[in-house]
Amino acid sequence: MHESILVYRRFRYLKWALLLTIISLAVYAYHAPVEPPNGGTWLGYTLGTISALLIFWLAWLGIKKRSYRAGTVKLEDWLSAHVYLGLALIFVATLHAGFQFGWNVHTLAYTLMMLVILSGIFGLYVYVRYPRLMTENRRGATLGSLFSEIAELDHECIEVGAQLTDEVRDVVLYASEKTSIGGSVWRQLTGTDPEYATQTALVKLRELARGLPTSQAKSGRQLLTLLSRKSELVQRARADVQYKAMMDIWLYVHVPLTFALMIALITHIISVFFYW
Amino acid sequence: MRVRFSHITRKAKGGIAYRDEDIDSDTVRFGRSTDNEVHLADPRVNLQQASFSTRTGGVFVEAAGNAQIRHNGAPKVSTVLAVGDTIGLGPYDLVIAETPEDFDLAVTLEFVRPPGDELEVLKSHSVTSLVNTGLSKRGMSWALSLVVLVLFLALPIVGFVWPAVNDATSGIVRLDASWDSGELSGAHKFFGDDCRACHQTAFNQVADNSCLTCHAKVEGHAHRDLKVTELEQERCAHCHKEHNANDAIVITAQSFCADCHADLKGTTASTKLLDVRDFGEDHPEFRPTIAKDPVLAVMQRVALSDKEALSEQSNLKYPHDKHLVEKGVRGPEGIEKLTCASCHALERGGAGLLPVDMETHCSRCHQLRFEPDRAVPHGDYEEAGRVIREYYAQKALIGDFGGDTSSKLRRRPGKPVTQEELKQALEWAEAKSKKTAEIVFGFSLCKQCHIVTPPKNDDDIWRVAKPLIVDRWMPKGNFVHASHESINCVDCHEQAPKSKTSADVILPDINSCRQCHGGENVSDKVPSTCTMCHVFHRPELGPMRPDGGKMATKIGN
Repeated sequence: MHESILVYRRFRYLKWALLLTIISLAVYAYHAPVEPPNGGTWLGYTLGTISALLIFWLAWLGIKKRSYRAGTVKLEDWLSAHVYLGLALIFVATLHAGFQFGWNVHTLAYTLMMLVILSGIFGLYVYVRYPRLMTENRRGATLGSLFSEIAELDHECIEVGAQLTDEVRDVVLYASEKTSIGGSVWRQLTGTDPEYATQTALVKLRELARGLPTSQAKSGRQLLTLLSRKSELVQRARADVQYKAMMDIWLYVHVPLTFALMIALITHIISVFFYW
Repeated sequence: MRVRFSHITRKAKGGIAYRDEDIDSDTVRFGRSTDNEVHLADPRVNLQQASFSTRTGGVFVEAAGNAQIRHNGAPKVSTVLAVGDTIGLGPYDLVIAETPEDFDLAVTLEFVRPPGDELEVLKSHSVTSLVNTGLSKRGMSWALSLVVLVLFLALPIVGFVWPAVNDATSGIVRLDASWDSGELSGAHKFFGDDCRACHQTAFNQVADNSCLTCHAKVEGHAHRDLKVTELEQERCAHCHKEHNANDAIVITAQSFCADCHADLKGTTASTKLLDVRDFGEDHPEFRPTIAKDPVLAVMQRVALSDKEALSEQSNLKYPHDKHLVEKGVRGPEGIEKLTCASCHALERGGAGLLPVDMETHCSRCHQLRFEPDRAVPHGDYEEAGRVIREYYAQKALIGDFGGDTSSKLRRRPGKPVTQEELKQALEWAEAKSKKTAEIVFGFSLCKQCHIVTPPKNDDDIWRVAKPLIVDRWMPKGNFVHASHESINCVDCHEQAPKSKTSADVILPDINSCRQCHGGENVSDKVPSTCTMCHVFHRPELGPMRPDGGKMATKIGN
């Protein structure tokens, strides 16, 4: 499905976007205004109108994808067109600006637009790449089942640990109580954890296991096996959370910046005609 | 030591079950290990957690090894026990009760902190979705949108509607600074902080009266009676585009002029102007305005290519060739070599050349003396004739006439001059003046450069025709000589050293300019658009907007 958005209907929307881009570039090259190219020439107004309409139409996808009413146009059409026409906007809007930039609301709108597009490109990248990574990492499990399995292993570890020395027991309890998956936005995105409680416990347990009396050696080995398995599952769960976070995070940039962009765009249009 | 332990178990429905256990031992040990007197099975309890023992002062509780115990909530290593004390051992609470008979101590023991469900513990430590981190698309969208809305839309409008707000904040921040669409041209920067100086009404294009505040005298482009609608009605800002730094405030693009001038008859049928499209490829030959009749002051535009008509009648004779001869000319101090600069000097600013002046440039060689001690004045032939007559009359009066002693008037002292003698002197003076005037006007001095007319009768005088010297041959073109100082005069004015008569118009033709200059788009010459030589607002036409811009403003809006 993910790649099919890109090749959808044999690149129909890529062709549309290319056509729009090439026409814009050609007219821009042909256009020789008596002033420096800018948004106020006839071509500037034309490209600006196209860009503004495109932006509002692209943003409309946010509403469209939530609408369950079956429209005449499929969601795949919307999404494929959204991607390609959104990319074409880079050219159309830049030509509209005539490469004039400054510290003003006009360039603010442009910058917000570029950030929205860049976040969209990132979103497209993760949607193409991450689902496969996620499937490979899960190996048929779900995050919920991974959690259950980890908790089950914790339980077993504690039971076995209780039969061993206090130091071993401490390590097992530490691993159980301090292990966390995900957490803050940063931890989710990086798949990191400040404590790595289970791995830390595993390292410590390997040391302690050497000092266990022979009578407890078997339980010690059993515990090591259980904790190793838990550590692996914890890492897979963290990876799963990370992939999910990567697939979600761009929308936290894409959507709020889109709203800011629309306000900045309206402000840009109003200000231009306010101070005509 | 005999201790009664009452194990308390709370039932799900609220009931409490007691199970008593009596232990008789010197030391009562608590721990996870089964060899303790009191076995506490929870994994959170150490193998050896604590012990009770009797010492001087009572029964003491003591932590085993590094284990922790809590006495009434506070961590302790060892403490004496009293009735009512609560001792915490891991998840267990031990409360010291009233000691029954035959016992040294009574303790209730309750498992008060059951272990958490591992799954619940793990879940409570984990946040697995960005939704649960406090990030909110909706919140961020609102926040960002509001910031943009307030800072960049609301504040500028507030400042425009209530200028007092603008004034109050002007020292700190310019509320509408974010609306600035680009750098102003240099000349307008001094009021650039005040958008309302030009943008006076919201949603209306900048009107001409804003510009005319300073530029009321800016002249028109075409004669008003031609009624070129575009020129009458377009706003100043239609051509003068601000906010592009200095790039567009004055348009220099060739197409701007060629739009009309490539086919001027199409817009103004009555025009006498020739069409022009590109200096390099499509521009008429230069048509200098030359003097055709100096008496009636008739000037005429003649194309440099029209060799027959290209003859100036200035009433002045000046052979360039005789002055620019290689071997030099005779000067007051001997032979000297003249150059163009001997007579032609740049005017201040460097655009044109200063007028050539008889007194400054010619008189050093061309002296106007008719006697060793007397010269005629320049520029007034009547006065010149008078000077000659008066000179000889004065000579005659003092008796110094005739040129030789025999003809001199001889008088004895005290004897009056006779009528005869006076008549003689006057005749001499008249004859001498007439002869001298003939030489001065008609031969040696005036006639060298001027057209002179001899007297028609005895009462008439010698006359010098007034010359008509053209101030600027091409008044519609602004040629800046100073910009061309690096090249020699004769590189362009090739005919100058060979010209024998002042009828010659020694201007370089368009092809001479085209050796270096081309149209706007040339790549191998100096790209030259119309405005390099021509102006749009023509000083001779008077104000472009004599009505103060009302008409243009009305239509522009």
